[in-house]
Amino acid sequence: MSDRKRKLKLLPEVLPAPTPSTRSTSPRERTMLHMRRLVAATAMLGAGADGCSKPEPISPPPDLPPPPNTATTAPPTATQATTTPPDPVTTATPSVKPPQPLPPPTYAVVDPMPPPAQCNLGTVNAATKWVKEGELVDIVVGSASPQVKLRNPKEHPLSVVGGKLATSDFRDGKVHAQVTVDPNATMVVLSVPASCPGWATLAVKLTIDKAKGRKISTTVDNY
Amino acid sequence: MPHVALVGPEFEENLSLRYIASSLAADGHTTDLVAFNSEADFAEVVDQVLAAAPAVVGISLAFQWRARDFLSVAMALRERGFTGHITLGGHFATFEAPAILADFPEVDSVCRQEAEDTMRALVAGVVSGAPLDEIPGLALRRGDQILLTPHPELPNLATLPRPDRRGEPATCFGHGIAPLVSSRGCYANCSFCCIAAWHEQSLPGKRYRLREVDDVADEMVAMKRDRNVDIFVFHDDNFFVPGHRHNKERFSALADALEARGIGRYATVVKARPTDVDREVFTILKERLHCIRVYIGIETDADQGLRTLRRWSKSRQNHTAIDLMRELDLYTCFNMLVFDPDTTVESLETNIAFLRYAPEFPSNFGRVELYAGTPLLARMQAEKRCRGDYMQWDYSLGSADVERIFTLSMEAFHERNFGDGALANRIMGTRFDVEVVRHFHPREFRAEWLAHGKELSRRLTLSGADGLSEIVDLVKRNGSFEEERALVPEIAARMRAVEVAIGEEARALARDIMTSVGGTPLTDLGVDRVMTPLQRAKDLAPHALSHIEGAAE
Repeated sequence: MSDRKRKLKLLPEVLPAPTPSTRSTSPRERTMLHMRRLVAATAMLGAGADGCSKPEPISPPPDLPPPPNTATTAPPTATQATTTPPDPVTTATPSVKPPQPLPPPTYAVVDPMPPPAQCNLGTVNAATKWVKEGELVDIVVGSASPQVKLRNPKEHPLSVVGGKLATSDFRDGKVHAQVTVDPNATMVVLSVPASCPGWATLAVKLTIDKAKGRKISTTVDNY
Repeated sequence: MPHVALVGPEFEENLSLRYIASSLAADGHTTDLVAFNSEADFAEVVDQVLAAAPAVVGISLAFQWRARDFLSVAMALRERGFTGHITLGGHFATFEAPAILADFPEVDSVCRQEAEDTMRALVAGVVSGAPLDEIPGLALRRGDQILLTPHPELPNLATLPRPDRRGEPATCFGHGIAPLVSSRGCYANCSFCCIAAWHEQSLPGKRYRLREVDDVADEMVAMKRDRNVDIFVFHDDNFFVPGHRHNKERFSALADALEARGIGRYATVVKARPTDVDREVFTILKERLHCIRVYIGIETDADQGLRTLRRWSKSRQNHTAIDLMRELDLYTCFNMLVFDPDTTVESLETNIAFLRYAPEFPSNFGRVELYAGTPLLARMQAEKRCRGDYMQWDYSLGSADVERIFTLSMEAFHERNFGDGALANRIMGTRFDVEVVRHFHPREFRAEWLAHGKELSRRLTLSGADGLSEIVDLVKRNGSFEEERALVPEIAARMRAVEVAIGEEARALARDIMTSVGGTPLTDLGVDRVMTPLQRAKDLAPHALSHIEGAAE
């Protein structure tokens, strides 16, 4: 049967109608946090794997980048990029390596179903208080649902953006952590592994309001 | 000539990126295929792209559930100083281009729909500095606005360069395996399917295009000759066309063409809908195209589910399909979307009964997810039943009872049904091992291997059906929270015990076959023969991504 080219009409794009988000973080914010976590996770795995040279770390800033249209150091626009092809000299290549061969392919046989996009975050709560104001914060994360289980940090380590993990513990199904907050940070994100019931990573976000005596407001989302 | 980095999953040979790579090569461009299969790959992926200093980075955003992984690559590249053009492609990117471009200034453009021709034009435009606004098939940011350029003409499948086949093929007991497509699209129009939504946008009404059988045969023979491929996995969205007569003619013509070219011994793997199952067609499939495995999209056996999912099929066709597979002794497997927005307790029980009806065939079950661009998502948004945002929608099921059953069953079955070690998926590989040996090594093949493979699937499926039924019964009798907390962990523990036992038997079976025929199986024997050190490391991480490709979105 032939595969003739058809003259296509310009069709109106059918896009999903926008629906108000019920999540506490935006897609951009979650992706940024996810990226930071991936950087930290791969650096950790690489350190223990084979000792080979790892990329320069992407240092977490004290604040997350501003949302689109307010960024002061926005990446080049499409027009800029098209008129300015990359300069191999100026393009950052901190760990230049020859092209990596593709990993040998596999055949997974299956036509799998992705796991449900489900995590009942409403049952997760996080309490915070300053141990030393502006420097050390105590965070306790708990779950009221038997389906959302927090994991023991000794087996599934926590990670932090905007600070450094000082201590962590697991008591009565709750994750206890103390975080040394980076100087001038206005946001700290503690990543907490959980199963709900599939693997998830909860993002416990602390927003520090310097104008109100370093008052902390806390939200919980997953990536 | 400018260099292009193409980033995507590469568990199997990623045909979407490889088709683009060969199209770019036709214009003289070189490409890197950068595999991003797990979180452990992340730093290396970013490193590899930066080291290549490409003019354009193309990132595959086909699978919605991995969008954050691939968008993270774009973000990390910019943070590391990459100034080249970053474009996205694939189903999710196509449908959500305006939202993605608004939220992610790191991304310069989105190639909407099939992108071989669009990528060629885009790379040429980026290199020359010419405006991109006239290139069909793009979404671009223009100030605060998102510009959608005209819909692209679909690539001509007759003249499209065949996929780039760099690298060695996967193998099963020494037999090379490679994916290919003989068509694009599916004639059906299921409400939940982003593939149908995608093709309805590009080729409304028809939704599929076919390659000439001679062209397909030439590609298969070339892969057999040049790469020692024996097993051809047709990744067509649907290998079948409407009408049994047309399928008979097409499959016979393909078999004739392969025989005329002297292809030698080979096997095929295909996907079908229950409505495609016909004795004559499937006899040709088995006897002449040497099909050793057919995935049949059962999805649901409940009348309610068939309506909600707009399956255009009936329960009796599901049963007929299973009956015929038994009669032809043809390996099949299937998934069931037992939870959908309208699921009732009664329809759940119907689907559990279907699992019991076909227990020797590997199967899995789960919930319908809401994918970008699909009619089902639009409906659920209109009904204000969605939670979350465009990156990943969650939703409320139709009743509190069904929601409770879903929540409890996920607690008990998530480990079995989803993720890296999910036995409901891995058991399909064990049966595949048996079928490969049955086809290619008839003298060594032992009937008890096949019987054992079926028995393992039977035990796994029936244990799952039993567990699901217990949860349904608990909810039907309005069991208390205390009863629930006693029952569900007990079911989960029982399921894990069954899985351990079956998993061990599956590995023993695979080893037994290995001893007789040599080579290595697909069944996971504990140490994956194809894992890189980083891939092994990621298996120790709690957030390892699924090793699977081609998620049924």
